[in-house]
Amino acid sequence: MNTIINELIQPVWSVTWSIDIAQYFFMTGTSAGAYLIFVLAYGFGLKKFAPIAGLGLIIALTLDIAAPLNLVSDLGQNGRFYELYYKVHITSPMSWGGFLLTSFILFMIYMLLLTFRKTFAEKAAKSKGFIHTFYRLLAFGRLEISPEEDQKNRRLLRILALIGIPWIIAVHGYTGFLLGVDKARPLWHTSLMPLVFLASGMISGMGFMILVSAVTQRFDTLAEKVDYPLMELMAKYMAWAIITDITLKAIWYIILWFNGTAMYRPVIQEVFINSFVNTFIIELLLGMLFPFIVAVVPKLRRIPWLLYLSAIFAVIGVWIFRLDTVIGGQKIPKVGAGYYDYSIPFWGKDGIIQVAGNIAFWLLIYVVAIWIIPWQREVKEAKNLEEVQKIA
Amino acid sequence: MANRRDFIKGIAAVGALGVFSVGYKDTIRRAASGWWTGEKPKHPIYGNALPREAHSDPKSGKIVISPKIQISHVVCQGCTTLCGVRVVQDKESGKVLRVLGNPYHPLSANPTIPFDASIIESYKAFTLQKQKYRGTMCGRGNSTFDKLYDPRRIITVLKRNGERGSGKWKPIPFDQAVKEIVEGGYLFKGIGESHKITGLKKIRDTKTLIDPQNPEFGPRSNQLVIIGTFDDGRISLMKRFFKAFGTKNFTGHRGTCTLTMRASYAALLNDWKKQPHLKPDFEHCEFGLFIGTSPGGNAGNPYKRQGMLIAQSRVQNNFKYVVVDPVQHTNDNQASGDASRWIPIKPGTDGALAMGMARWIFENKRYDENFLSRPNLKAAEAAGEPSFSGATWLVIVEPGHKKEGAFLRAKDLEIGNDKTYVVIDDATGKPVSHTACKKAKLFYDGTILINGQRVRVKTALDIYRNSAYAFTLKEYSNICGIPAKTIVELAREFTSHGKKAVVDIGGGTMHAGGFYAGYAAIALNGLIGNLNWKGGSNVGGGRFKDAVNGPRYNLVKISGAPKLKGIRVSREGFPYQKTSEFKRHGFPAKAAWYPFGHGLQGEMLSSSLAGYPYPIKALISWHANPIYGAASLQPMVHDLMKDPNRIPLIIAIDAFMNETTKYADYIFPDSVMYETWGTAAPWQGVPAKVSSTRYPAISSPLQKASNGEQVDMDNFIIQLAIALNLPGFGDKAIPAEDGKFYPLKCPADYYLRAFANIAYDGKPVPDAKLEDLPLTGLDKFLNKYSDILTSEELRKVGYVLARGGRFQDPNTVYSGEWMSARYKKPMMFYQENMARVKNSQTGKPYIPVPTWFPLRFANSALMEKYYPESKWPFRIVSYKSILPNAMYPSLRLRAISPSNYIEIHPDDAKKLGIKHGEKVRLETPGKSVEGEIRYRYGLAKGVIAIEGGFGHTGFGAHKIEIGKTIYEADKLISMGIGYNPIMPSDPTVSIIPLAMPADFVTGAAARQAHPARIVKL
Repeated sequence: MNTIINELIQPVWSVTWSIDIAQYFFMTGTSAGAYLIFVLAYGFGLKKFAPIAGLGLIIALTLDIAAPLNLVSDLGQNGRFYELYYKVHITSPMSWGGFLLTSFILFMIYMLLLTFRKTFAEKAAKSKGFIHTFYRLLAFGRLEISPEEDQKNRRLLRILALIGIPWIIAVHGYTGFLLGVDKARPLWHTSLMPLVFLASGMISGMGFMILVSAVTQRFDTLAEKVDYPLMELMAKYMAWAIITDITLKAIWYIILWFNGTAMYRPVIQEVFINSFVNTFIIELLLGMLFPFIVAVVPKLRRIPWLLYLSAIFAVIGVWIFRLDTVIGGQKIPKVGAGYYDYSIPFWGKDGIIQVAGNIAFWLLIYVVAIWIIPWQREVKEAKNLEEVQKIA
Repeated sequence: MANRRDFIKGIAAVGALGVFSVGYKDTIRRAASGWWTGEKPKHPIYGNALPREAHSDPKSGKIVISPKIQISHVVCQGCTTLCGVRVVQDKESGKVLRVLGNPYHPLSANPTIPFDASIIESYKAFTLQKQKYRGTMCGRGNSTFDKLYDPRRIITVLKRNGERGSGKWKPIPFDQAVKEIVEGGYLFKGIGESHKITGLKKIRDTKTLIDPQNPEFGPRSNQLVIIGTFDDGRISLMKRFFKAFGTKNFTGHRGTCTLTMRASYAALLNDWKKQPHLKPDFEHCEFGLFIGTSPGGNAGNPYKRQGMLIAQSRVQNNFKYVVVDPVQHTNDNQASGDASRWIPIKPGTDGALAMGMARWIFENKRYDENFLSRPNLKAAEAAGEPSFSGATWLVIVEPGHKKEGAFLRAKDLEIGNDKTYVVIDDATGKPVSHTACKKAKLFYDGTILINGQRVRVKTALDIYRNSAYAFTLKEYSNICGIPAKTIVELAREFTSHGKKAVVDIGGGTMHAGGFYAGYAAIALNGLIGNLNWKGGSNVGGGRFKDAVNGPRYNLVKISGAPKLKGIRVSREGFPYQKTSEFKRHGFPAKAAWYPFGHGLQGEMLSSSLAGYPYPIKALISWHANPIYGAASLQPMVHDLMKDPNRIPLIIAIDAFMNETTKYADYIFPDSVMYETWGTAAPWQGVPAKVSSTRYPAISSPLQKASNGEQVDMDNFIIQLAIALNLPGFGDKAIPAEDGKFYPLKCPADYYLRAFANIAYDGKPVPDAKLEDLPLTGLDKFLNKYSDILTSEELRKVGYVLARGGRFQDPNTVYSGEWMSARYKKPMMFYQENMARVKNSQTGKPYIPVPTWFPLRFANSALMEKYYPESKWPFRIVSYKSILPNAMYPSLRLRAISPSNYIEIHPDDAKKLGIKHGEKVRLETPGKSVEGEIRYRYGLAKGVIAIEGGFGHTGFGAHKIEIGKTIYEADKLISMGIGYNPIMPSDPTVSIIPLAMPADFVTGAAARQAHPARIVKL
């Protein structure tokens, strides 16, 4: 071997993918989980989910619209984000992501219009002036949709919802893929990464749906009541996602620990020793085992505050997992000695305030969306829960 | 109800909008500025990339040279390594664009392009065709040339225009400044200072004693003190000056650099004068143990070459190395894999580790008996060893004997003369002269009949072994915090590679017990006898004859120079027991004397200020900065430096207003980087013979003197010497091989002749090819000085300068398994001189063998007694920065690394409840400073580490007024913590500026392993 060393330097690769990238991964993952509710109702005809199926789509859509703002704020040249669209790199998952995400947003908008077309038409018919024009536009110009046509729309939606499954797997899966392909970062470099991201996305998606739909039902329906059996059902789905996630992570770490090459040694230390509190207490114990137990033990599941608390912990656990993966991967230096330390700033670029801003942006567009979209159509402004379920 | 729902949604929407606006304020602002935020570069993809000097045609491989760009091979002065570099400059503006490594130069390329390759051929080293010869640069070298264009650079002669240190200056003509310092007088009457200053002419009195009561101080000419710096290739001219002037008081910077290391090697290699030192032959070595140094990491000159070599060797030759240091350095990294290992150690205890290893090696007989038992070189060579040792030489250990501690001489037994020693012959068991013995006994403890008296003697190795046996392995382990198992592992590994294992040390041993720590560590090399072996250790290839008595010119002979007499004001190199003070007062002396000291830059300044042992009259500080560089000196001397009664005249020669220069009365500018003359050589670490040449290859903004040459150190010193009428300067100053004398009136007179010596040393180099000279701009340059050398000399000098020096063919450095150039003195485990000299404070002799020596103050009191661990739980250390450098706060590098931090292990921090990034107060005894905490896993626990080179108070960290031009203080320069100023002073020394913490033996500035603590704010 005749290796030529041309340069010997000790650069410090600072943590360049920061909290907003973790937030981006969290948002798209959660969106995928929310989309699952829509698919279960519209794609697989699980009627139990019908009251919040449209809401699921709204949440999935709004999350996916808010998510890429994190990518914009992460850039050094923020005004140049659109270059992603015309500077295509066929071999780069990052380049695929731009197109996958944008196209899927458009696709979801189309499905959303289709889902609520009948109600939009009715609203247009009942109103005047600007509101009339606005809803008529949303209803593709129609003022009335016949029941036959509505059925036709629903059949089309069923096909579209199913088409959306591989699509959203790609939309969120690519984020895991993006990390998985990076062979210089041992914490990221695993083929399981897209699957782990999807599984944890399902957890946060279900948890998020439980929380958001409960709040929305409580404050934005005439009944002002939460469809609690539905919450329990979502908790059970969340339990499945938790099992999947734990299994995948167990496979990942066990192989690394017992059969990984030397390159993976720092990963084990980073995940299990340096980040002990996050890995074991927040992610595993509070974020997965606690919600799992609450979801599978009927007695516990029926205590609302416990169920909501477990959903909160599940969401936080996944968020911390995203953060620890993104930052932790960069804390293991490529050639340097020891581990890097990283403190997240509060203000400015890559600051916590930016993530707060992102969540706020999501909330803003979500509130606007449920304002203009009569998501309650599926619950028909019902007076009581029984009626809600009957109509659905 | 709908209203209530809308209200809730409205509140939520407004709140969300508010938080969003705050969170995305910056993003929106930047995005709104369009496609570009910030400054727009010249090219959207290549940015502000610089124009290239040439390109290689991809098909034909032909080199096409850009007519606008010129290259020159000179020397970098970004640090003390002095790498050969290839400067790329824009011909039109004369501005340096960038710097590459010189492919001919072993400090920049490995392998190097053959010396006879043409300049055009050398361009190929930067193309894919001959990339293996590529010369590389380090980050620092490619940045610090910004000093050329620094607005605060001193380019004219300045005279103080306010009190000392006030930062107020006025430019004055060069000739007037020279006249003023030569003649003296009321030089600062204009600013209201009435004292009369003695001029250099009057100070140069080589006959009258400074003090007849203390004749050993020497003549009054010693009252000129010159503090220089490392040998950047020009020190020989400064030496010529002080020899002609007749002062003994010249010092370099070794005492604040790595004197403990140099002195340890001086002991091992039995040469206290030249202090040679060893480096591993990295390319063939199998195991390196680096204690308190980190080659290719952060420290260990030559930085770049060692870095290249260990990276190559660990990949290609399975070279393994261990770094023992409180700080994990960059050579132990992911890329080095299992080839490297870092062992954290408690600061200041390296000696215990080394003695523990020695004990195990003795106990298990893992030393090389074949090597150690050969008492002379001839016997060693016959036994297949390229070097020998004094291990078997007998030492008189009889208590009370008048020669106690001395080597037994053959003359004492009447079996030889006074220069031969005595050994016990292995075959006969009888004492014989060391020169007459082929193999001697390693260990002997018995009596010998001397002049009819039985006197107890021991072999040197026996005494060393006893010293190693003073503590058990467990005790050594407890002292240094390294498990006994690890110590054994290291000792076993070290003794498992034959001669291909080396121990090296460095600045980590600059602590109060540094000499013994260093000696204990490097003595291990002696136990396996790796000296002069391929893959072992060597003293380097040396340099071609340059500014010496060379083949063309004799540049050291000064006809009529006075003989230098007296002792240095720094009290180094002279035993207190020989002074008149001792005769009058006995022990202890007023302050410590350092008979084994060398280059005590800090002591030179502080003693001058203290007036002990004698007062001085003038100081020339050349690019030196002891105030920043010597531990704890800065806070002690501020007021004293301002007082003109302490040192009446301070002259600085410097390019920048550093912490020491800023107190000067006069400042003469100096050339920097590629503007300078010089003949440098690698400090060490290159087995081939190398001379690097440097000439003003770029245009300079410096003021010109009346001889038309730039005002720099060289020209100033020559003009000053002529004004003082010193011998060896002016007309007929330099004797030549042709029997004639040549003038020394400008720097070119000196350096071009040194270059001629290099070109003619041994077999002269070929003549330069005509096409080589214009490519490097040498055609015009040599034309300018064509009357100094003969045309034949010019052609040969052109050949050397075009390549940036002269380089021995690296294929000739080995003869079989031995080095071709061998070091021929013995390796010594026993220091006779140390046993015979008494410490000025304790009145007791020094310990003459490697030993574990806990950190002590000047009066031998244990540091731990004064500052117990219960109150001072941390030990503070400094380490070299990989980018910024203490010599110059490069703004380019500051942009990358603006500040340093208080670095501690996260476990220590968490115990104190301190967060990463938290502001805290760092305290050492008597000092404190605030700074920011940085967690660092790569630290031993209980250690605080500070990166060196920050927290400046000079260089523009203070306001400077030159005439009407004002330079406001620049906060970027003062950022971070200056390490040395916060080092504690020695509480056992009563004379204030002399209370610098120092190594007990050598007086080296003790900058490591001091007590410290952290206080939450």
